[in-house]
Amino acid sequence: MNQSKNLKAMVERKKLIRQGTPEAEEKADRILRAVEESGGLSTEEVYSLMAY
Amino acid sequence: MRPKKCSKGKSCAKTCISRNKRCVVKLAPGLGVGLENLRNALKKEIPYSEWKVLAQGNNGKVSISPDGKRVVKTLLKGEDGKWGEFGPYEVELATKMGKLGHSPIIRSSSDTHIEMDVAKGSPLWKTYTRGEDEPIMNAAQATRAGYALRDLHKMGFAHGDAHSQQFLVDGNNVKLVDFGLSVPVSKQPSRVMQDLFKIAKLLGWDNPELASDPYFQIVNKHLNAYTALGSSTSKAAKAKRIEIAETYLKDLSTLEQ
Repeated sequence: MNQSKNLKAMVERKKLIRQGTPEAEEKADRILRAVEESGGLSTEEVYSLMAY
Repeated sequence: MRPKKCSKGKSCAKTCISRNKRCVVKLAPGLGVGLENLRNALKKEIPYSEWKVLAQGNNGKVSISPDGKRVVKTLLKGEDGKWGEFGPYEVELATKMGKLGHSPIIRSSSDTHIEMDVAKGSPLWKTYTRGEDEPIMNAAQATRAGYALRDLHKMGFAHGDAHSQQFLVDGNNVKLVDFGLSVPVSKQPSRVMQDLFKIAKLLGWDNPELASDPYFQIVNKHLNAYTALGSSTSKAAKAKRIEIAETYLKDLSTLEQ
């Protein structure tokens, strides 16, 4: 269950989204952009994210 | 084997697999050893505990079947002895969206698990650079993705976390996943506009090839008004966002499938 850097970032991002504040959403948006620019998630990682 | 009642309570020419109550057609007797072996092979299911664990988090465990065709999310008991929870609408929406072809098909679910097909494809990202006007999805992909949100919104829900990594793309086939953060529009109407805003560049709502589509016309009209508000957090801007969302939903209700 070694997590890639991108998956770890997306797990953190999901926590921010749950907070729901404008600041958290802005930070979440930056994380998403960085993940997209560094290769995104694999199919398995998309499903993995559902665990969080 | 004596026919049992299936999960719908019917007694029929089917037998139930007890673990997840899926029905299988009962084979006529005397069809030979080969068919009997096939039946036994089909009935022999590998328990979730033997599936490969992809991730274990605060919201459960996600595992993939040995053949890679199914994934299951199972809830776990926390240290306090309480079971984890699905998102309030996660199972319901995943099931409905799966039936509509917008999401992976749900094969079984209970209070503690949801098993679904692994959708082919992966998120699009390779050429996704914000600030550029080029959409990432082609018109056919954007239409499928847009219709997924259209139908979710028509059901009265916002996805709550729509972004590029939630759409699995395989050719022109697009599947939307993860409804764990979905919310009813009655509680947070402006969330529907956030869904649209967050994937505007991914889909390219203003792609000329989509201009004749009635749904995309509605989206463009309201998304332009929403975008014009910028990131203002004033009371007036918040009220305007809700008004735009409500008008969008009203327009959506008049849209024929």
